[in-house]
Amino acid sequence: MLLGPAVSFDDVAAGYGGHTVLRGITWEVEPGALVGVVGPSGSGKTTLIRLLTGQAERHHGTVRVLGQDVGAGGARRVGYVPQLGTVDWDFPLTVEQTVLLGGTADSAPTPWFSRREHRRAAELLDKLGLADLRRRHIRDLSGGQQQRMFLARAMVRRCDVLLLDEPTSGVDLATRHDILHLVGELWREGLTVIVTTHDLNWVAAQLPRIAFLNGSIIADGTPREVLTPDNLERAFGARMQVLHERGRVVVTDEHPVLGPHATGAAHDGVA
Amino acid sequence: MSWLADPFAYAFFLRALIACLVIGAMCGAISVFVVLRRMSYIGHGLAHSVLGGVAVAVALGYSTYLGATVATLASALLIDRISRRRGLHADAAIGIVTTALFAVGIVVVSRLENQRVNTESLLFGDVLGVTSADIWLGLGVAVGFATIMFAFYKPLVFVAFDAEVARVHGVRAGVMEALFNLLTAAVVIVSVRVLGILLVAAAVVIPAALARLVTRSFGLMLAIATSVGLVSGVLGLYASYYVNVPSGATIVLVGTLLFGLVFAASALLARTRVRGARERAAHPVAPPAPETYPYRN
Repeated sequence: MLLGPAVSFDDVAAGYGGHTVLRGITWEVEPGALVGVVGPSGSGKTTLIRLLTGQAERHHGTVRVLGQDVGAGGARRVGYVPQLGTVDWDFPLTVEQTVLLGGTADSAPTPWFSRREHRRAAELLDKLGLADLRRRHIRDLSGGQQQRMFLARAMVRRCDVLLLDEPTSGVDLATRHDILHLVGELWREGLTVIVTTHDLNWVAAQLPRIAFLNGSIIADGTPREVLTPDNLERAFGARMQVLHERGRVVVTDEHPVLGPHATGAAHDGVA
Repeated sequence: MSWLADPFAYAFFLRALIACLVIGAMCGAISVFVVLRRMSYIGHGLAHSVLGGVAVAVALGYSTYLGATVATLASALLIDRISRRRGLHADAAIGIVTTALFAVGIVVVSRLENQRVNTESLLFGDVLGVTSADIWLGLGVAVGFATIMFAFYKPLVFVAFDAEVARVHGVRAGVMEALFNLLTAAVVIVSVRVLGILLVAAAVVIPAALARLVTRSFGLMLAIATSVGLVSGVLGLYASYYVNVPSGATIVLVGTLLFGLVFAASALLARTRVRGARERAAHPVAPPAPETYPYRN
């Protein structure tokens, strides 16, 4: 039973090649939390995730996962789902093989996986609704199925902390709903889940806790506490309107430039 | 079938055949990782560094194999090191390191007296020059290669697919990348004798390129590429014997011919599938009519 935070950053500065992307990050995530890290492109969301996986250059401070310092090799019991855009979809692997590879580090030094490992992969694929697709090539899956496959791969090692980098980026509405539903299920089972996104309304409507990031943590709390016009301006550099609709928080553009509610020169300029 | 046995009248042929089998299988197997990691120029680059190593070794009075090994392994490690720098990819690292060593080789060879380095056989291969020592070295490398592939197959595949995620999942991705480079270097060193510096690159690309056209399974791709390497080696050797042309070139040409045939067949198959889809779209099949029973009076 872990008493301290599942994830903690203590005065962390980090970046790449000597260039600092994040600075002054002091932040904690309690065990069993579902947290969204929200910010515009280039705000350091992926760097924050990569700090937890030991991939980013840490210039200052300490990063702990489940009470242990994260070294260059990353932390154990952390599952990671990368952005779909970074994957080589032509790589000759089936869905099942991809999931099985997630357990490579704990597997025997043979070219094959054991029956127990196959059973574990089959259980996860079944749980995530991919049992019938296990022999398919990874390219044959839809965006939502691909995300589920990577969730299965992340969980095949029995992780306690799950990191998802932009899981809803570039997917349609139904797939986004599908992914969120799944993430919620995993969270309810006790996993600590950290999700990065720049989709404000998706985060505001769905996640119990969010942190605004833009080089440093700007605000942290429930969507109602964090999604304020001032915080949004600090994080995104643009003034936005925040509406409260039937208990949900909805962020809209204060000065839409297109459409029936458009204001300003950009719209007027369209002949 | 005497044409199969006739060449064995010459003692060199058996040695050459064993060398071609060993080299063909290893080149075929490593080609899968080379192609999937998009490092098709690594064979080309590492082979070029052999000239520098051999020339320096001859100049200093050491074994040519020692020179080739040191130069190729140093190149592999340097490529690995440079390509880890942000903003520099493996292709740039290969271009810098191995061309520099090739240039060292040219400079040193030009300064050597009495043509002590046979540049022609180094560049184009010399199957007649395969000695028993070469065979034993090739077999030793093959055993090491097979052992490493067996023990590290899963981490090598995982790192080839996604090194970053593999690292998160506890795989020592840096070690695997270095291991892959070292394996490639070892395969190149033992292949240069038969194939030559200028032709090794094709041998570590063509088998996997062909296999990729026919399968989307990693295991099958590995099996097909290894078989293509073996078949190219044996057929190329026989062709070179009967046509009396350099064996390295014929082995590569056989591989290229096989690739061309499979490429043409797969293109034809793809066109047939597209035509079939267009025909189905133009003439949709009517839903089956309800079953009727023709009663006779």
